[in-house]
Amino acid sequence: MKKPSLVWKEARSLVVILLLSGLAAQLGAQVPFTNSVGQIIPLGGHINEVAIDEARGLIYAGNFSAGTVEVVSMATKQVTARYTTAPIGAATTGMALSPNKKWIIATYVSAESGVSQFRGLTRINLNDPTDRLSIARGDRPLGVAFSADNIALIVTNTGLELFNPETGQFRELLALGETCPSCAELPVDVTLHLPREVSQASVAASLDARWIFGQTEAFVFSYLARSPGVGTLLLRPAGSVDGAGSSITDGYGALVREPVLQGVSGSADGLSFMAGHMLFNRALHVMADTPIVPEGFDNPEFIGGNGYDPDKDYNTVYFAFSDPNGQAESNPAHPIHSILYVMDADNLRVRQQLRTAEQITGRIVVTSDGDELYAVSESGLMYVPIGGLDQHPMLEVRAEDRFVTFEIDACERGEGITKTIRIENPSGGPPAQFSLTSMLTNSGQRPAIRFQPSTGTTPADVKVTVDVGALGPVQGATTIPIQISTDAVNIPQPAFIVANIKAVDQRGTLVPANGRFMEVVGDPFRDRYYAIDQDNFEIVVFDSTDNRVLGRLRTGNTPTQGAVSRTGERLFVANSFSEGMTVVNLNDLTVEGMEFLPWQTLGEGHYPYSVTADNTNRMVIGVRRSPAGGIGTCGSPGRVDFMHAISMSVTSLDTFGVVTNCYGAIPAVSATPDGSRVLFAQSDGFMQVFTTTDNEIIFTRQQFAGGLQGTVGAGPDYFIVENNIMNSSLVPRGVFPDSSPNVVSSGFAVTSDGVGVRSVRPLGGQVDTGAIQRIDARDPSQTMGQIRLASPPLGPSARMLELGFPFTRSLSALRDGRLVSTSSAGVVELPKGFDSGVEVPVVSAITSAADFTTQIGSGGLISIFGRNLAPGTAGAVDAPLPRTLGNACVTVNGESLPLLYVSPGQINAQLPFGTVGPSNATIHSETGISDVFVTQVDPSAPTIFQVTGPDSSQFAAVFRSENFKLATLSNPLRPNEVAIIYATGLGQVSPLALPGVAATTVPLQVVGATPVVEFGGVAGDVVYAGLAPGFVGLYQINVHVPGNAPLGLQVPLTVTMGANTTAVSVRIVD
Amino acid sequence: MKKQMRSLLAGSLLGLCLLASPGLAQQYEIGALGLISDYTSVNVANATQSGTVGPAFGFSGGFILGQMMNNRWGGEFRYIYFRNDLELNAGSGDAELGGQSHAIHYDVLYYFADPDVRVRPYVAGGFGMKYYQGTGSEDPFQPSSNLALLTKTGEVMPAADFGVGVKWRIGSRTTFRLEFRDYITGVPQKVIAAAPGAEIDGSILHHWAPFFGITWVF
Repeated sequence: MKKPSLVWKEARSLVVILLLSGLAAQLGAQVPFTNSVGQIIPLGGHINEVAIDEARGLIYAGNFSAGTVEVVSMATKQVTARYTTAPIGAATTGMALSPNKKWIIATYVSAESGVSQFRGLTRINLNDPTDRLSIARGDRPLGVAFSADNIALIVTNTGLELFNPETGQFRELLALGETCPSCAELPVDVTLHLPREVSQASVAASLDARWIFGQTEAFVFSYLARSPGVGTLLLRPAGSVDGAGSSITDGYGALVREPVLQGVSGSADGLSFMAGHMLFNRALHVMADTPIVPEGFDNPEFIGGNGYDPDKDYNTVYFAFSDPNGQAESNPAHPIHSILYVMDADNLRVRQQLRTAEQITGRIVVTSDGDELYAVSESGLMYVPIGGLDQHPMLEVRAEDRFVTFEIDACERGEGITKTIRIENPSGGPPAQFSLTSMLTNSGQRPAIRFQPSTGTTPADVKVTVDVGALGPVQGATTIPIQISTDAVNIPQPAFIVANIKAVDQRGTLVPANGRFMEVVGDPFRDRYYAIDQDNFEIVVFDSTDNRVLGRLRTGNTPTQGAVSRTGERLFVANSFSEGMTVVNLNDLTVEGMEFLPWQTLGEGHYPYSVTADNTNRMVIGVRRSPAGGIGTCGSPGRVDFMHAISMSVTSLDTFGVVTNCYGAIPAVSATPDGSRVLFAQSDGFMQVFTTTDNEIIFTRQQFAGGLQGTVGAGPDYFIVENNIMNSSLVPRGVFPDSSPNVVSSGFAVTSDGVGVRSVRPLGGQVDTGAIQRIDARDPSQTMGQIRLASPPLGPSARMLELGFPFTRSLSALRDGRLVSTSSAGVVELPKGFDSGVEVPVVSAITSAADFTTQIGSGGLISIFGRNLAPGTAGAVDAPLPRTLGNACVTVNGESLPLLYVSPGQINAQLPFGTVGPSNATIHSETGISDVFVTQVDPSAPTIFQVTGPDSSQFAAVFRSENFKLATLSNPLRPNEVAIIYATGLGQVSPLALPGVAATTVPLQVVGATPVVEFGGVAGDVVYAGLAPGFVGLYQINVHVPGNAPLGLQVPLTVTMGANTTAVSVRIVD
Repeated sequence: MKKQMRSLLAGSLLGLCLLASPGLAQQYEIGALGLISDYTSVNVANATQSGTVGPAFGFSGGFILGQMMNNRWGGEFRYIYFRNDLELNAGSGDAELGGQSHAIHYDVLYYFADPDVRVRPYVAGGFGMKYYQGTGSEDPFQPSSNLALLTKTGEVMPAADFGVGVKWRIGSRTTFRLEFRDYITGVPQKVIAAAPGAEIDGSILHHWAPFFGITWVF
């Protein structure tokens, strides 16, 4: 394809800028966005540069279209002067203020294409503004910055030059296309890989001005000013692709993603700089490549800028990003057009998002105290009193409440479970209004999520209720975003409700933790495990003995996978939006730092995604490489690098034997337990087995043309990819039969005793629990059944999927044989014998709990007999009775029953009062769910309890009012005294009783129809029939023993309600 | 119980009147007596276990109203209260319940010496009623309740008694006596009930009671 000429490109960029300028002028007339921060300082024309002169209390704004420098008072925000810096017909391209505040230099080029006489720079003596010097140049100055020696570095279309404003002399630093004597030594002379001309540039100095950083469309650079006029230049090609799709460099050192050219700003200490949306260190490694800017973003539409805060421990950077279309928000009347991100300066983690009064379109500068922020904006400049945000309404959900986790037992079908979240103004300023909704579609008539209050002002404690009944018959974890509409100036951090509906057969203990854990790494040498948190860019360190969080360690941008080195000294974490691996010293739990995949020796940029440890103490790293290609370019995005776990030296072989180290997708890597072999698997279906003996690929196969996803794992002599198992030669052994088509493999681990365990997660959009199973590597068909997990493992993030890395490693083994899994609400810890005792419950009989007959009445107490009903024995200790007891629960017609007692062979429970007719009972135990057992329930079916005596003899629960002792043969009833009969199954009472709740004393809850009680056929006068106060499901009948009741050792006592009669015998004497 | 006691008292007085010989010079005596008492137990057994049951060792006290019909024959109306707790002894456990009985009976006495002799041995025998009563607190889980049940209830039984004794005149009108009686009744099977499946072996209950008494003759 024919390359467009540089002249044409320059003209095109100028046209774009002018168009933007016109657009900005139009927008500048618009009313500022409400509920935002920032005071607009309108300036005519198009401002493209800003510098701050705190000593004079002035702001200098470079006016591109007017060819002037506008001088604005920091106090009044009014223009106090205007310096013409370019001839008519020229446009200001750059501007810089010298560290000694004496000089300001503005560069300019012709606003019209091909007019060469309007190129040059103007130097103004700020101590005497009439002292101006304009110097015309043959090349096109594009940007300028001062170093600490008050020498200006000027980027032109043909190179870099130093300019001494005192003498007006220039000195060439770099001529594009020629050898660079001032450049740092690199394995390859990068100037050979640069174009001869560039058309755009942005350049800035660190606060101490020792370092100057810059960016063109073809390269980024850092310049260290060592002595006046002498310094060292480090260049890194950007590997840019021009608008027509043609590469304008040959790619050496090319970046994986080129920074959007909007501005460069240097950190206060000179350790790093922002170039567009990317963070570089001064060795030009990509420290972070913020994923905020969408992948494939069209550069000309990008409007934004960046700037460091010199205060706040040097760890704050501002980044503006404007979405011309407005970001989707719950309040369509208030689209978000311009956002000011407040980010951590070492990994670009977003701490806060502020709505700005209008779009920030360029450089951001901040006063040395960090209190005032000035930015190039649509209408000129925007002033943000960043230190005074407490004057604005702001709103955040308290950090610990952003993941509100509801652990819901599958047997819980009550009105709801409530938790409280705190909504507050983090800056302590004026209150912000809010309105909360959830996007959950509920299945019932009532909302599944309720907020109380749903609207209000900060600060507020909001009760969040998950109505389990309205959720419908769902199982597993559902993450529900909380939609927050607010008039606050900030965009609140997202908050979520995690409803984890756990059935008792779901195994594992959920350890709730805030974060999105992409992987959990067990430490084979210590009682610890490490969760990779992609939300907060952290490693969360857990003590595996008690699942306590030991600490949180910072990572780079977007950590994806981690691995412990073979010797166990270090943990390496791949930061997939940077060129660095975070290295953690596991002995003292400190971050040693970021070890970069060096573009200088690799010849191109590599972003690490996947990592594993081999048996030579190397970390094998699957990387995403620059699309521009470098040395040994293959044009494909995947490659495998090696980082030595002690020396940190990085190697990247061009070939592994006869196979090129070049993959069509980012390789996921997994080493065998002995580390001698490593499986590479790509989403395009290709797999390779790498042996460390000869650093060769010994087997390669494209087994799955349809593509791969899920997990990649390696056992002693087999490999797992997705739900396939292959032998050591990648010959398929079989396919694991998953229990559902809606799941995909998510994790694989080999336990300390050599057993392979795999897990599956629900596919996107599916609500499921995920599962875990022990595998039989020889015969996958003999693999144990899948055990449902307490909470489903996490899938890859949307960005990982977008970049062709759909792999997860959600499962890891601990050194004591236990397992840990990622989940949507924290981490799930599983015992070594997670799949033990998998015999499902079997119900053999359901009887009245009183006399163990099948005469069962509504609201009565029942006994369920069978085997494997519960894993152990447990009894309820208080009312209301629990619906789950000893990891078992019972449902009848879908409604869970209050439980009094559970054991493997018997469960005692209370039937709901409304249950009548043939009823379906099911036992849920951690070993599974029983088949449905149908039992008949009558509206009322009295049965009298039996009491076992000391000698195991049985007595009817009939008591004498004479001495309130059990009426027995040796304590017989007497005529005319009151007998107290305890029974169950007498049906509904008035006032209505709730299942599982103890009966009240005031009022007494009496049965609707009085039972008929007879002694030897002679009816007694029933004094009371109703629930026994203080008890659940226990009825009490107080009846006079008739005076003419027959006497005897065994006189029949009958209680009749409707068609049901129960009979016992009592002794009556006179 | 009161009803039973009333009938017992009426029957005894009737017997006393019938036995009196109105033609003889009447000499009467009145006095009190008492000491200890004990019973012979009866066996009780079910298919697998056995034991003994009955009133236990106790004490007695009562009064007498007597007459001399001639030099050698006399008659006495007697009321005696016996306190003998009920006892069930078995290998599966012993049980107890408070127990007492009231005896009202008329006895005929034959003296082996005339009234002017200072020491007069005699033999006696008679009939009456005896009211057995279980007392105290009932235990719903009485030990060995599979054999017999000690019940807090009352039961009237006909009673016969016989015995020997000796009177020793110690003053012009005062007489000391020492005697021994055997009361014979049936087993009171409401108070001491055989448990279902068990059976009480024997139907006679012997009640041994030595008495010491003092009477005033007029």
